[in-house]
Amino acid sequence: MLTTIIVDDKNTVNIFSEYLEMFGVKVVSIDYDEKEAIKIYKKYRSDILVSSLNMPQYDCIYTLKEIRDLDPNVKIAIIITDSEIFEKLDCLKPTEVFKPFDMKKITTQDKITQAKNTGFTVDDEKNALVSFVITETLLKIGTSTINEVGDRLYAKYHCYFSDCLEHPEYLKDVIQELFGNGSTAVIKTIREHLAEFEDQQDVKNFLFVISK
Amino acid sequence: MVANYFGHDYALWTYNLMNLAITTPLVVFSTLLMIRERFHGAFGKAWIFFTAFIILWFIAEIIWAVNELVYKVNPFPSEADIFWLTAYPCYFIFTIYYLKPFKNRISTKIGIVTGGVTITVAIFLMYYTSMQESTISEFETMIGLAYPMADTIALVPIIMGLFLFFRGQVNFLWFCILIGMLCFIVADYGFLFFSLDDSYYSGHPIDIIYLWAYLFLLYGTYSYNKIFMKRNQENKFNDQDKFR
Repeated sequence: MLTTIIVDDKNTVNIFSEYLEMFGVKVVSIDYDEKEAIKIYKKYRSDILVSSLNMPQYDCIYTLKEIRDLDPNVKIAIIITDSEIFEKLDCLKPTEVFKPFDMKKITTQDKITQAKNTGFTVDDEKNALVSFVITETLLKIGTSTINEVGDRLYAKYHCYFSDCLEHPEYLKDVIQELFGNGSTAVIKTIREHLAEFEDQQDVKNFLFVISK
Repeated sequence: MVANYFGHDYALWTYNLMNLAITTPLVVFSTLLMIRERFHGAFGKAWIFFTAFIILWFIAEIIWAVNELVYKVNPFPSEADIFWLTAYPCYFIFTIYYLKPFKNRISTKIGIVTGGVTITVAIFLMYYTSMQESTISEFETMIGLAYPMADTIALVPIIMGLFLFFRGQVNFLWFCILIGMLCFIVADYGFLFFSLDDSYYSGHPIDIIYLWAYLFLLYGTYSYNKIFMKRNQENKFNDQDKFR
């Protein structure tokens, strides 16, 4: 099984962890600060390193260079927000460069699709997409909201955000339980984010049930 | 009430001590909510301002108590009023941030209903106050009137919240804030009314309503903490912390 270490702010780490684990990539460690990344990499020697370049307190380029020097074969996936940084990246020989949440691009990388092998389906990608949209919507409300909704989904229905495509009624029930009439506002936001995928039957069904 | 039978001094001490006994845990619960949100998202920002609102009122209560019990001076008006009045903008910003993720559900109808109720109560307050004979200065009257007016305007987002979160668990917080603010309206207006003819004193029976107001806010924040407190350790979603 492929292994990965993820280094970024807490919210991005949570989203990427769940997403990559769905594709059979084991997240062996996470870090919110580049400072410890070299130590963690030396300990776990993962196949992949997913990292941001925009960490506030440490020189990420130096860290990633050190890791590249330790292991020339490690796959480094870098998340950036500043396009001017592209030219600085050559020294790291990145495997690929992603803009934030270019999820489709991340999961079509050769190694990751090989990891899923016969298990990977188009449905998994849709599950991930819906899961990501739900996570992002709830994160904008608050950290405790996303944790509470996730906990209740598991406690009541033994399911995760990634199962909500198949069971939108669970998500609707939990959000309604918490926010009552206000749940329609949350659902409307989810709907707006998924609007461009409404032509796909699974997503259409999900939106139909959740909006009922 | 009972303390009044033993004299004004007993009532004074009883009221101030009970006040601090209620507002202290309120500060604690508000701070816990703020920390739990980790300052992220709309709710994160909302609870920062709610905590600021509560802390400012807590400081005002302490200043009031110190002026009365230690310096033995009339605490109205005083520096405490600065803290009380400064807290209201924090309260309004809390409501804005809390309701922001749900704004697409706030209809014109709700706005008209809440605005109508507020304006009616505000007009009544101003009219009735102007009819009273006063032994205090105009400045003190205006300061005294500012409180029930601000409390009345504070009802607007609360009523919106009640509409929005009807049948939701978070609605209980808004219900408690509503009852609390209604108590503050009655208590603040009662304070002004009795101050106008110089019959108010700390420990006056009207102060019981202040205590109830803080109690409702306290219970609302305590219940809200309980809603978002449950953690399921089996949930893989939360397992990622262990990777660190």
